Amino acid sequence: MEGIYDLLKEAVNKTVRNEEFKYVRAANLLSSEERAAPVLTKSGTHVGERVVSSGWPFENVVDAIAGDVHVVRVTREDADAVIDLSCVVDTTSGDVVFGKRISIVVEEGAKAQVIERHGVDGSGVGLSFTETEIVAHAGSNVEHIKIIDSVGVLKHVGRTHVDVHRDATFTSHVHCLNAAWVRNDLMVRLVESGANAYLYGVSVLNGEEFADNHTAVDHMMPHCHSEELYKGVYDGQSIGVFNGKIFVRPQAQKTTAYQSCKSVLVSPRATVNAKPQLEIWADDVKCSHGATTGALSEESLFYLRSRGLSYDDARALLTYAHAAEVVDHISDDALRISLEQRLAEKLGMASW
Amino acid sequence: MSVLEIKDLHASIDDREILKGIDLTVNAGEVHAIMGPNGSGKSTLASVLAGREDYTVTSGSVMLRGNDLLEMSAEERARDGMFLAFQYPVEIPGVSMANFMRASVNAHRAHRGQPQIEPASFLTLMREKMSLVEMDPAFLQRSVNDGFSGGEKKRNEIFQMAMLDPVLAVLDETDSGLDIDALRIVANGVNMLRSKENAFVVITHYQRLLNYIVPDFVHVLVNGRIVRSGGKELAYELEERGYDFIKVEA
Repeated sequence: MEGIYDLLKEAVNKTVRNEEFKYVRAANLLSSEERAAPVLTKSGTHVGERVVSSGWPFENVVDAIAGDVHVVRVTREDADAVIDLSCVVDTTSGDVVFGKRISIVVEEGAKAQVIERHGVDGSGVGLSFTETEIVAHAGSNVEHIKIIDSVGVLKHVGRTHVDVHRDATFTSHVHCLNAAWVRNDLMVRLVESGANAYLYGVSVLNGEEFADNHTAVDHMMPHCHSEELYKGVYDGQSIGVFNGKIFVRPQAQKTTAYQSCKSVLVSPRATVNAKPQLEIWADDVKCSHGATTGALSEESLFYLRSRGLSYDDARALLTYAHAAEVVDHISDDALRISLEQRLAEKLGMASW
Repeated sequence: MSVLEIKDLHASIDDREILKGIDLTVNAGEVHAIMGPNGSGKSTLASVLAGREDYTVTSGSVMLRGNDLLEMSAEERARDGMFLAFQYPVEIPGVSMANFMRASVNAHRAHRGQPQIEPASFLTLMREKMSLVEMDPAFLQRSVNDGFSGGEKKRNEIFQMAMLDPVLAVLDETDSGLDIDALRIVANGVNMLRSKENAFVVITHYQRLLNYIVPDFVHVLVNGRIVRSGGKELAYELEERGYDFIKVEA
């Protein structure tokens, strides 16, 4: 057990004075309270090769905990494959440290939907580290949905790396709904022409929740398209962080890359740090970025109240409308409806 | 008991006094028109009645059916039977008309001790009131005022008024920006809702609307005071002679 915590402390040290982890107080991952030694759940002993080693501080931690890589391969014949990867940990007997490495290969022309759910059941604290690598081969269509919605206390650090090949489409949804502390790193590389990436994210935080989404889209070749929309609603003393990088390499002419980050602060003590970061080396491209952070529209609030709605109901309607735009992009009807429901619950939307 | 009783109302914004002593009594079944030049305080009056917090009431009283209106929050005034048709209705993307109206109707019902409205009854009610202002039921799925034309926004105000059945409706320059057809539809909607139990305060700059919504009383507001009151003929007189003659007389 000490081995893991040493690796974790090393990882936490690597985040200090590291620009990529500027708003992250990773020390939160090291509990200072006297807790019973957490249960380590380990899948295997063989450490698989990574597609790209990124300098992610938590690599060694994940390797030590996860061991084996959980591999999924989707072929063209697997019509409409849905892969449900649940990382829900039971902490009734005590705190748990959990790790998983997932590798998904979607072959040429294949279609897959991958759902990663993260949560904790029980009174203990769950610490989870996951690393997901996806390769979307030529002409494939991959949808990756990461849902962090926990009943118990969950602190999660996750990294997703995706390579999108010729004429393939990758769509990512990251929903941070209920978790004490989350840091997601998402890197999408458009490695061949005609590749497309759509990145959607929504964070709804209250209390003292923390969610940091760092994304990067790398346009490595010409004629690729990417769109990114991250939205958040922050109440209480919650903290949200967004850093969206877009790289457009010198040869990536005719790139179209759009990014938007919109946050609503419901409480005066909530905080959002949003940073679009575009690095463009090609000259025949169309790129845009926008980040807005603000309170709810006074005029909208007054209009709703003038129709008899209490401030709370008006706030719920407006924040739900704000966040729901992202959820609306989920293609699967049943999943979208259930996510809308969870969103409505967290935002206090009455079931009128 | 009157529906609305305003006594010596003074109101300011940013330390500037806009309303300088308004007296007005509106009884059930009556339509009162309030006309006046720009800057006279017409919109301020509507805002103060609706409960906008930017304005400060420095003295005077406003009673709605015998209850102190100024003590109530904006939502309490609405639930107690006041409705303001906005001059510039705000667009609220992402909030559907259906969700919005259901929340509003239920807020009113809860206040009256009634149960929540059944989905089927609600749909019927919506369709019925939509036809009153000749609106396509497809609007129910759209976001509130989002992408609506000027005329559609004003008709949407009257639709909401029809849904909520207020005892006092204040129409703040409902005719501004409307063409003749939209004007006709809006006026018709209002006329259909007129009854012996409710009352209307129609704030307008031009006499034209009052050809369609015929008032019982016309009041002229100049520099924060009602300087003249009369019957509907007063509106014609203003149309012919302009506001200057009133200003001179006042």
